[in-house]
Amino acid sequence: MSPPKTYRNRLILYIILLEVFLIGVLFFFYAQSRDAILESANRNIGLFVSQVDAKIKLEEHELQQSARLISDNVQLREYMFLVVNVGVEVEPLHDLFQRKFGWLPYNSAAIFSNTGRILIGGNDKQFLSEIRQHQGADKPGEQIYYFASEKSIEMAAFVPVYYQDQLLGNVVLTRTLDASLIEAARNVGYGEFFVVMNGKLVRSSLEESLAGRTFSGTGSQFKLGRDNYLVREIAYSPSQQDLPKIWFGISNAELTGRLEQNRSQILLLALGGSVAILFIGVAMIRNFSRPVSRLVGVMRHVGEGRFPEILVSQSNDEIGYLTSNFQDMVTRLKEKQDEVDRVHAQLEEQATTDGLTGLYNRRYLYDLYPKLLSEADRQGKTITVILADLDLFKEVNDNYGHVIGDKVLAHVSDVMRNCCRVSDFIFRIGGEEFLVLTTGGIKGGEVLAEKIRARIDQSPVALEGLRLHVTSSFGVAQREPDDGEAALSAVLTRADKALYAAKDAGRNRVSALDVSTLRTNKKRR
Amino acid sequence: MLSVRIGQISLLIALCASFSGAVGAETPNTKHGDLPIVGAGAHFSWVIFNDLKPALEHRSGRHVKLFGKESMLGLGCNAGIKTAQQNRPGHEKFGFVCCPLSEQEVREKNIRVHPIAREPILILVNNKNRITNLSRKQIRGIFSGKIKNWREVGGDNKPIVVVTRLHCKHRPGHWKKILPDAKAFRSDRLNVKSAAEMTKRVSDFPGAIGHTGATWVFGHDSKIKSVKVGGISPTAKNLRAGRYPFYRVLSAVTNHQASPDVMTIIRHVQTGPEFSRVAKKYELVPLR
Repeated sequence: MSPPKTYRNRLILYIILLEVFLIGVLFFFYAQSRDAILESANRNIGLFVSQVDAKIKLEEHELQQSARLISDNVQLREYMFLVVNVGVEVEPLHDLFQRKFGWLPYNSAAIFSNTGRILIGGNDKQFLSEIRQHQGADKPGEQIYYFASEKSIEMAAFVPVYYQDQLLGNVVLTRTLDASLIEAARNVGYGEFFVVMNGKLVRSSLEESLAGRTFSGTGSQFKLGRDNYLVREIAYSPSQQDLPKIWFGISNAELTGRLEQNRSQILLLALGGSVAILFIGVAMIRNFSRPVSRLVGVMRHVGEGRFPEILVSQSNDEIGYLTSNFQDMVTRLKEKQDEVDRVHAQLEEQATTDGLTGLYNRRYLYDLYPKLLSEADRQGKTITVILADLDLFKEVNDNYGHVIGDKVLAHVSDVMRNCCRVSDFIFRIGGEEFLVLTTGGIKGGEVLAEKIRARIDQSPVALEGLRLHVTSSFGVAQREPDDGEAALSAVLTRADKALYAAKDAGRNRVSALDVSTLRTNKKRR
Repeated sequence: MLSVRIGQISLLIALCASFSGAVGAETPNTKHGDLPIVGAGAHFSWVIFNDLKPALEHRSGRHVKLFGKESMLGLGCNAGIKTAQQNRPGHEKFGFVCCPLSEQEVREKNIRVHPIAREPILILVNNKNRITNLSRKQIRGIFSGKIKNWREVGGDNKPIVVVTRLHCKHRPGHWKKILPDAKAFRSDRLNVKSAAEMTKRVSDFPGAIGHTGATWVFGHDSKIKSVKVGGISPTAKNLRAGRYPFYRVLSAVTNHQASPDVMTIIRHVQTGPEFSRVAKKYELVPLR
């Protein structure tokens, strides 16, 4: 791609490039900021999730400690022993449990005998079902177990109860896992927890109506409805595969909200910058490109021979100095050109006119005739040639001298000029020979020739008390279609023949020569 | 064992703390009469000394400090004996015990026993239990485990929960009046560490049975009652007459260097008119 040839176009290109650069820089930093926010958020989410993992482990430990606190209590073991072995009622055990351990931080509690009998905590059927199911799996010893209820994921701590080396049963404490996380997220108002089973949202810290929606994605980007979330899984129970997964995530909109809020400001900034650049560009074009373009235009006109006016800048800068000097130069050039034109016109006039009479000369006749012929052909007219010769002019020169002879010629020229129309052309083609080109045809030519002849005959030349009577003879011919390339010489020949015919017939008369019928018209006054 | 040791250490700390102020304030011209006489030991004897404390202080002209309320933290018979052994001039002490001491123990520990009173041992049941009287044989059958349901003794069809406090096992008397050996008691029983736990356990289980001394003061929230034994109530009168079978001897103990003030206090407990009132209150039989 070749660069623009004009300074103006180059300036426009630079402005466009500057605009693109400005917008590009803004979008680059926008994208960079967005990436930085997401990267930082990803790191913070990872850190937060690891803290949540640690907190869950701590809660597991605390729950197990609470269960141990119960199972290690001597009085409880005694009471449980009495219930299991002696068969006493469970109320004392229940009262003891409430009195001593009711304050512990658990969601549900149960005490089972080693035969599966519920000693404490028989109200929550689902909880009992899950516990029984797990207990039936024959897993002795302390352990942490998770199960999903309708409302939450429950963390359960199993601790066996021994009395005098006899296994009496198990203490089971549960603590709600996801509900507390969701509640915490709602309170904090930053980040969301998602409980997901088989790709479907079960619960979340968002509105409940979203339950059942698809929650899936790749890597750390998950999608819920139209919202994208940066997420990380909370691996609370890696060994149990049949449990819902818990994800913590922050929506991209929440992460980049501030940036998105500022996006309009960024766009406004870009727009403002663009407008500013445009203004700067327009100012540059106005201050630099336009004067230069104007100078270029003026130069083009000067090159074409025209000299337009230049609005001279009033500024004192470089462009103003250049314009002012250029104007001076153009003015001087125009003056020179005018002088050249004047001299040229003068020379041209001298080359085409007769210096004595002011009529066209013979050379101009040969230049003009082809043009007139073309124009006449286009207009369907016929060129008529009237050839005139002053009778006995040699005697005037001989008797009165050449000065008088010249004045006679000037007089005859004035008469002929007065008799002809503006569209007629009058030439002095020899000493006392004249020629008129007109378009009136043979008849018109004869009439015009007769008119001239009569006017010359009737207007003697008055010179210093002397009146000289001069006459003239006329030969009229018209251009014929078969004149060919030698059109002028052919018609001149015929006009000359007619003139000689008039001379031969006694002078001071008009003779016309037609190709078909040669006729002589004699008229004498 | 650990709790006993902790209790002993705590007693020592308490005693040291109680003495420190007096010892610190003592000057070469200070008389022994300005220092308190310290008594410590089993709760059941402490009750007597504590009730008589104003009279004892009046009689001896000495300030008396007593440790033994509820016999917690090791303040039992052993602590009473140990306190008595620590008696020396400037640190006047005596102890009190709730069990009779064997002659061998008295000799080995170089102490003197000052019997005060005979105390009935109450057979306790939950007040929901409609049983009010048990024969000595029934009681022994219940505590040994031969009888396991109240139905067998005319009560409700309810399993019997045996609660025992088999303290001072090497000493004669006391619970050994019920059954002579700890091994003779039912194995699946609740064996508690204090009288307070005893009353609590019997209160908790409607089918429970236990035992404790008559000087134990039951709180308003206790849900227990004592039953007659063979139709005999646990009164001083029946005990003196030899009709009530279960009892123990409450005594004071000193070493052989007991000061006159200490001996005055003990003798006043044994023979003073104020003690008659206390003995009547707790159904005790004075021994002097």
